[in-house]
Amino acid sequence: MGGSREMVSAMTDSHEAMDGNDQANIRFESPFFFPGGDKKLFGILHRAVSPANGRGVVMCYPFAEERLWAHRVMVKFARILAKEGYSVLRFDYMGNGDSEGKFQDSNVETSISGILQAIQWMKEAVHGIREVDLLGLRLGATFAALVAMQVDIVHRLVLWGPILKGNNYMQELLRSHLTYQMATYDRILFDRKRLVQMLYEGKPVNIDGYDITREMYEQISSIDLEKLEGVISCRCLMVQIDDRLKEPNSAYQRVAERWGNTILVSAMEDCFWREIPKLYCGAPNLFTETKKWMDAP
Amino acid sequence: MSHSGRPVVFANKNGLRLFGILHLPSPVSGFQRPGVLLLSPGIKSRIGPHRLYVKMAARFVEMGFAVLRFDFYGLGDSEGELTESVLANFYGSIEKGRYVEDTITAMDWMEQELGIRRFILCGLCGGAITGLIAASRDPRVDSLIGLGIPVTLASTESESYDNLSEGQLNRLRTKYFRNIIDPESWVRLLTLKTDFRLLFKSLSRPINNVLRSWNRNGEDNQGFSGKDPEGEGGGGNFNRLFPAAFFSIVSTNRRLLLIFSEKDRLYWEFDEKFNRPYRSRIEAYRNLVEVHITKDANHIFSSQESQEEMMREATSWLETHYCA
Repeated sequence: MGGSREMVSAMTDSHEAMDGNDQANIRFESPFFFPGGDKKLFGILHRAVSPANGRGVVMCYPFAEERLWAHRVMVKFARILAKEGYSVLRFDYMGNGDSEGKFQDSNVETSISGILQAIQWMKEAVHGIREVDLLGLRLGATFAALVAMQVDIVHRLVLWGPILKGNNYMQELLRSHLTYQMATYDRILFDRKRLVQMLYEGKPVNIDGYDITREMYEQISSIDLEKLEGVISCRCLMVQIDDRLKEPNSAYQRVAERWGNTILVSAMEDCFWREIPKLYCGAPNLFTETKKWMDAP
Repeated sequence: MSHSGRPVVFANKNGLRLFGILHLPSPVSGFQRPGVLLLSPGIKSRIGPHRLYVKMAARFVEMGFAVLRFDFYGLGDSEGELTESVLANFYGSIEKGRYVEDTITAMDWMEQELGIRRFILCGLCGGAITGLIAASRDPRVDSLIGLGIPVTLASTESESYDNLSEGQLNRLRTKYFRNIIDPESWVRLLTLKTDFRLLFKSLSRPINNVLRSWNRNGEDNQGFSGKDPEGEGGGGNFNRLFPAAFFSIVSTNRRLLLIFSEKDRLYWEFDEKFNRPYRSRIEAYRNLVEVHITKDANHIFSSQESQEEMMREATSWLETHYCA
């Protein structure tokens, strides 16, 4: 596969940049580009440090700026997993992060396609991988669930605070645009209704610097994991993340019950995918719950 | 080479591996121009808020510059751990020069790999102040493009009301006056939910200023605090490294382009705590320092218009000084 060759080339480049002392470590974390349709996707492969357990994990980042706030938590967990024998691939969807393409050309389809490319790449290019799990955060978890419904190649699914209703999520983003307007212009120029109207007129709406297009808005808004007919055949862990002790989310419960093979747990963590006063470089409760489930036979 | 660049990894002085993306102009035929380093802002890594650094790298590489954007230790994909538990304290550590050594390492790496010996440092917020301090310490730095450069030190204590700038207080005052006709605001006031210290501070500042100006005999260069800028700086949270680094750079005939956002408190702080108090000294280097205020922009240049304006300023400045 072309992807394997590309990886070797990128890794060689990185090796060239290293002095001798780092040669021993670099093989464990390698940045590279792999093919994702007509655009190259950026990924970092964390190779299993201890004896490999034959399991691969593809991490699915959350949406837009949430990806940057949550990045270090994802990195930290990838490193924990790698130490335990997993091979982990973190990658950017097309038009996101370091991957090629423009954000405004990305949508749910391109993100799902990216996840499928990442799984395929991992299976073909990483020696000894027998099965691949998906782990996603927020909208990334939603994308991961959609992939698991579409294809039968996901071994296990880990959903960290998945977005069940895309429409609610989009409305939340549009609300943040109102906050931006107040902060910049001291007044609301366009209310939410008008912003939606603008999207339907083909004018992108800028949320935190990201141009949300009509296509993206419609595709995300149409997601409703509660109502979706699809079946997830693999085992699934759904984690409800709250900053204080709360009752189980009833919508999460309904989805978990309907899917059947899903366990719902909760982890107390701050919403590290947003700007918060705390510096969040790890999420110990979330990690513990997840590892416990992943390590179970 | 495509604008997606080439992933690179190099070790910093403590042996921690730093991850980056190197963008090279095409065709590569020796590097006549300085290399550009995009320095990570806060915790937003080499990508920057809303991929700002990816977009900037694409523009700069089109102009023929080699561009490296990389993650400092403990950030993005790089190795290392951050020990702070509060974001503001971490920002404060950046403003004191935490990542200057990593910046110097990146220049060493580019010099070794590409033979580039002159550099333009560029960054937003924490990346800008890192660039300023690094430039004052390393003569290979030819110039700096600083976006929303902070002149204060962030910390949990620095949120003190005493450190609020005139710009921030003006804004609050306008808001309070506008809310006079808002019933909800009156409910907040009467149920004691209003921040009375803040309200008092914002309303009393104009009166204090008038009193101060009477005592000051109209002298302009006493600045925000009314104290000697060389001694106290412009307020309790003023970063004293800032003027030292600033004048060290310009006194060695190196250029600075400072781009601010009109709606960013960092611009008001720059103006009140550095620009005005140090006006006479800055004037001597006016030909080396350009300051641009981007209209209706917020701290991260989130609107397309403000991004375009900032990018136009930066590229035209580069064109003038490096591509003519």
